[in-house]
Amino acid sequence: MTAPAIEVQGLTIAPRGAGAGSAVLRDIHLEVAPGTRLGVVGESGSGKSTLLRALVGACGRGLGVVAGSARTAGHDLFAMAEAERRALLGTAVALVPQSIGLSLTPHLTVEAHFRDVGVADRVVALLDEVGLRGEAMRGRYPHELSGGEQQRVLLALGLARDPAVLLLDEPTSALDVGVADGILRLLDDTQQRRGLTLVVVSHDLGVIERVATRVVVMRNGEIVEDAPVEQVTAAPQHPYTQALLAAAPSLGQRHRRRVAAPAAGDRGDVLVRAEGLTVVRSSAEAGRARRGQWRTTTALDEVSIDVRRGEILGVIGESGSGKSTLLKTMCGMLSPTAGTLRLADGTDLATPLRRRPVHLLRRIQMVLQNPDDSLNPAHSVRRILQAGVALDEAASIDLLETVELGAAMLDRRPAQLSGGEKQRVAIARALAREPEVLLLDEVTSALDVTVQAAVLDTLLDLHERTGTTMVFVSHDLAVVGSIADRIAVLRNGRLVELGDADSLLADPADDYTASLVALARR
Amino acid sequence: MTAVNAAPAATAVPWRRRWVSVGAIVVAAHLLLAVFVPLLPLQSPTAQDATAVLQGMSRSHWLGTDDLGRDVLSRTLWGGRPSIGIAFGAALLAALLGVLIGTAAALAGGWLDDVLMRINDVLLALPSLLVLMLVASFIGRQPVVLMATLAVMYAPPIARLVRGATLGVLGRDFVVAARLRGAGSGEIVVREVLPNIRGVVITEVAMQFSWILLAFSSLSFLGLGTAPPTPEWGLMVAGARTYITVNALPLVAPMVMLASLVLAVNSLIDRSALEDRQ
Repeated sequence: MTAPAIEVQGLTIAPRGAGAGSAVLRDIHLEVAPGTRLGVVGESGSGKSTLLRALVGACGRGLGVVAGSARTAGHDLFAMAEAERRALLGTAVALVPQSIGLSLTPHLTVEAHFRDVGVADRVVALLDEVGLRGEAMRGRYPHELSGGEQQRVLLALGLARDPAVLLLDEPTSALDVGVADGILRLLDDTQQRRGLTLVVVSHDLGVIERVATRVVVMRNGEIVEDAPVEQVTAAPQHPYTQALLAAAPSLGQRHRRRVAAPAAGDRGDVLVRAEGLTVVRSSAEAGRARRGQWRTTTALDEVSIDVRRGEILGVIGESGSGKSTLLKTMCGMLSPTAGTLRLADGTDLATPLRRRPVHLLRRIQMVLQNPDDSLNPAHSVRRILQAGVALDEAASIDLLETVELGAAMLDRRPAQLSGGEKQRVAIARALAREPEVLLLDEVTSALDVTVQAAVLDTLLDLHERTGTTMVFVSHDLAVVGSIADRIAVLRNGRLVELGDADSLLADPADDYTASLVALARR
Repeated sequence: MTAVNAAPAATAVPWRRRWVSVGAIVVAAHLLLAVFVPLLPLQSPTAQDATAVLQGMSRSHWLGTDDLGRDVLSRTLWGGRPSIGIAFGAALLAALLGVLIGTAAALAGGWLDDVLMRINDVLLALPSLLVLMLVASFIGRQPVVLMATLAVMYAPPIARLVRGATLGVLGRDFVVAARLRGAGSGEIVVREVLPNIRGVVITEVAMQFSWILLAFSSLSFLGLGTAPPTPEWGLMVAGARTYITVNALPLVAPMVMLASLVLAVNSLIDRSALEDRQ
């Protein structure tokens, strides 16, 4: 057997000056044979990105190697002089970074990025290899590229100097499913053609399944399971892996059995009705654009859709499909350009936010996507919950218990909460106003899968108990499918399909829906 | 990102922290002195003694006497009152103006933003000492007038900073959440914006306090601030400079006081900036 491409022995990385107790990586042993594909899966804080950086001989800021060694492509990168190590980056081992939006220099063309790594003569060939039209792409600037194109350019940059080992950090996490599918296929091809040793880090086991043959499951800086992919998905050994698998929503599978139908009565009546709803957004609305910079896009194009009382309506679409615009229009942040949007009692929802009376504002509440940003960091949870609503201490605690948090949370500040806890507080804040309609904008997309599962649980509990109507928007068909009663599919601002969740997933009528379903099934 | 929780940088700069607490002590001492100086067993700061002019340090005059035979120690300790009082009031007023204008411009946007910020730019372009001299000459040198003028002249940098910081906060989701619950502009500023920009605003106001202090002392030095015989640092420096070769103490003592206060305030700003970053 040849020497392993990656050989990590007893690697422990901890904050400088701190004890081994706070180690970010603990006693990692890992061997990867040349030409094979390894997936590393774990939730945030598991140490997976730190491990990936360690494979190029780098530690995060303030971190240091406490014990052990890491050899990549035959080189002990931690033992080398910095200049020597840099010389090997890109040639022996290349790391493709995670955040596509930040990884290309904004003022440099694509070609200039390649010139910087010394392969100006092969730009077109490399771009062609990653499935881009090299001639057309070379002169473009990063902002002229889509997310998928940026990811491909980054991959081409990684491949530029023919590394033996290619490391990828979350290659698809910021991309729409269709685009992500293309990238995964490209990785598959490239690895086979070049005989690369591939290491892919992802929080999504589905991604790992597609590109890797062997998977390492990490948790709290340790490897808890290391086995072939089929074995891990079919018969996970470690309890954490089992939990991870159970938490990941898969298509056509209900998040859990519905115990009983929510409070009957007038369930099924139309609560919100949109007819021919069209929203044209100008850049002035999107930001604080100055005069003379009007650029308009039709974010919603004659969408007619009903939200029924007591249901969970799932809305699915890729970025730019208009799903967020739909929510923003319902809650008054945007005004319709044409068409009507009314509540069942005739209240016109075309009224912009500023002119909506408080009792109308209360009826429609929205939970925003990013819990790190939607809670004021200067306020305690108590102040956040009680803002603008008469809520006494006992009611606040009740509310927290509704979202499975305790009274102890009241005096904490957002910085002292985990991502899942923050999102629960955001949901509790919306519930404090006892809304008729709860709008949920990608509320789980910033959360780890196990946390996502718990938050979905909370939402379903809530729905069963109170029968609150919910509109759940997400890019993730599996998540929407697991909790929604009906699903609406949006694409480029148009309503493509609307139907009962189970039948829509089982037998999509529209081609686009069918392709989404097919991608989600992989 | 995964756990790249670097150790806080503060642990690496203990000497710096000690320097900072020296700053706090000096500022506190200055403030206490300004408030409680009448209680100290000092000689009268205005009593003249023609028989003891420009004396050096002695038992009876610890820091000597000036050209009119007045006790330098007493005058130096009393001399901070007008400057600190006016600078403090002017800085508070400037902060109020700056926060009002800055948040209003950010929140309103459009033409109001443009108008407010262009006025701001004009004020920034004016040499403040010149404006102060004109006001002192033509309107008067009453403390209230000077305080108000100083506030207007030193509010623009605060307004500009507040506008920028407010715009940053307004773009965040918790402001959207506040709008969704029906919060008005005032509520958004007070509840959502101000608590999050408090750090930078306090830092900037403290900085302007230093500038105002120096500006007012300069004005007194030029004979347009505090009127003699009231003891005031700038005025003392102006009066003593003629006799610098005979006795430097009446000049050095108020300068040391002024410099130490400005330095101490600035070192306090350093700390708050440091804490903000964490």
